[in-house]
Amino acid sequence: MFQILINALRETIYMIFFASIFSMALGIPFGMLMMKLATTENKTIKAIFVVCNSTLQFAKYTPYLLIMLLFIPLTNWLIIHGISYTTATLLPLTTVGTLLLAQRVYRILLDLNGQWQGITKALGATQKQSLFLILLPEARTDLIKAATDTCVLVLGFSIIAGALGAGGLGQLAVEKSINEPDHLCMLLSIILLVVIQQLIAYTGHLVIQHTQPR
Amino acid sequence: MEQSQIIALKDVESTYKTKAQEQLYLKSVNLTVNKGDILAIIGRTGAGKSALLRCIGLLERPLTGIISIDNKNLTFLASKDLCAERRYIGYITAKPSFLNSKNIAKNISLPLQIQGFATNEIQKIVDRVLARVGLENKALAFPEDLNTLQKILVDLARNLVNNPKILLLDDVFNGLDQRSIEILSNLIRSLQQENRVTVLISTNDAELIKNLCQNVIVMHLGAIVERCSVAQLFLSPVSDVAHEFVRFATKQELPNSIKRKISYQPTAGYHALVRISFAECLAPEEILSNTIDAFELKMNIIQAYQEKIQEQVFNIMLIEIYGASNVISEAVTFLNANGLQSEIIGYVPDLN
Repeated sequence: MFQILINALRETIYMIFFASIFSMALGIPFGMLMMKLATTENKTIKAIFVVCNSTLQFAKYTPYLLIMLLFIPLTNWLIIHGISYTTATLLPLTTVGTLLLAQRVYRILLDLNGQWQGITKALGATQKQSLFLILLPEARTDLIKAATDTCVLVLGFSIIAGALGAGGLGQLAVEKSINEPDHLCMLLSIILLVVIQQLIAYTGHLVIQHTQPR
Repeated sequence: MEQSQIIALKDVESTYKTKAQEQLYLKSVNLTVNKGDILAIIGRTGAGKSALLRCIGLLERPLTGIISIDNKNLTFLASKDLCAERRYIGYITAKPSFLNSKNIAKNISLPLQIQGFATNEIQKIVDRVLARVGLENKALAFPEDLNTLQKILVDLARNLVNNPKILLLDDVFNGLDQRSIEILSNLIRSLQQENRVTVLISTNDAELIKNLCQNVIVMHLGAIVERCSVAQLFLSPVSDVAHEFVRFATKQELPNSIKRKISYQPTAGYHALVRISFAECLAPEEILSNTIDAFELKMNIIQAYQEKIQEQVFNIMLIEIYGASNVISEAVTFLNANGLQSEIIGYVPDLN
């Protein structure tokens, strides 16, 4: 049983580690780009912004299960070409993680920009300067919080993906509670999931503490 | 000394849009300010004091009209050139905002960083401006550690990095204690004297105006209704708003016993109530007694007090004059001609 648990744990960590890393690497720049698009006065860019914004809204308000289902043709195609279930799941996980994080980053920067717009304008800062000298330093704590929340969300989504057969602790817990009841194993996998979630939250907390100016 | 104009506003109008309508909040404002002046802007809340300062600070473009700073028309400049000009105009509010993630020195260096100064140069300038406002020991503190006065001083320091020609203080003195007001006004006075900075202050603090300012403009409903020196404001206000301000700000409120009975029209059996104001250097007793004798009048002093405006002391007296109303008005003209600024403010029956 321990072997099964450890394998599942390894799969889960693999999924959320890569999905979180990719989400952060793509989501934060995407959020910054959204902010840039939102503040640019140009018809084409406005149109692009509306499309992107709708996509973000879609990711935010649509249950993850539905998005998973949308991705099934694509993941199936990947699996046929010899990629494992777990790796194929990274695609929807990363996409949704990126979109959710981008949405948060965009909101944070937009709020701060509202507060600082007058001042940056008065100082004559370029958009780049106002982003790097003012907005990002001020947003740091909120951005780290947003990234942590996204990692926890990705963990939750990996469980849903597991229920659909992507492997990991999610799949194990579902199997052990429905198909071949083994309550101890199910309980252990759930406990492990909670522990991972707490670890992510705690790491985020530590990073925030560490990056405080004093 | 020849005084040069630094600010000139011509027919400036400004509006803001609400859902229902466009509201005009500056109405054909014409204003010139000389270099090195300390000008107070008074008026009720919502009279357009802040709007005017924001306009002069070029934080918003006026709807119509021309704003020239230092003989340079800035109304139609492109945003980029406007930014360069704006560096010489400091704008300070009562609630300045800082980057909470950065210390005071970093906060002050922000405008310099944006202009692309070298690091060691920035360091020098930051040290200089912090020393100027007397906060050398706060360079490494964070904004939330500062009290209200220190926040304003840091904001002032941040505005001083470019050696501004104009400082706009938007209600900065509001809510500060007397000692803080003194520190801040001394600093502003020394900036004005040493660096010939022109200062515009929106305030309703009479003491501050008396101590610090030289000239006053009075605003009402978005228009400038009066412009005068501080002494003129307190001794002979013209507009209703100015009257109201002086009445509330000084002890010129009439005693209740008089207020109940006063009539503003000449009435049979009533005698005139006259306010006389004069500089301390004059000898009023002689002039007054001469007048009384010459016109065969009788008088009675109701109130007398002093008003200190900058270094000058003014006396203000409220007297009753008994006699025929046409003789009294002649007497008042005579007093005015002799340097005692007099004005009939009403008529009262026998007070006893």
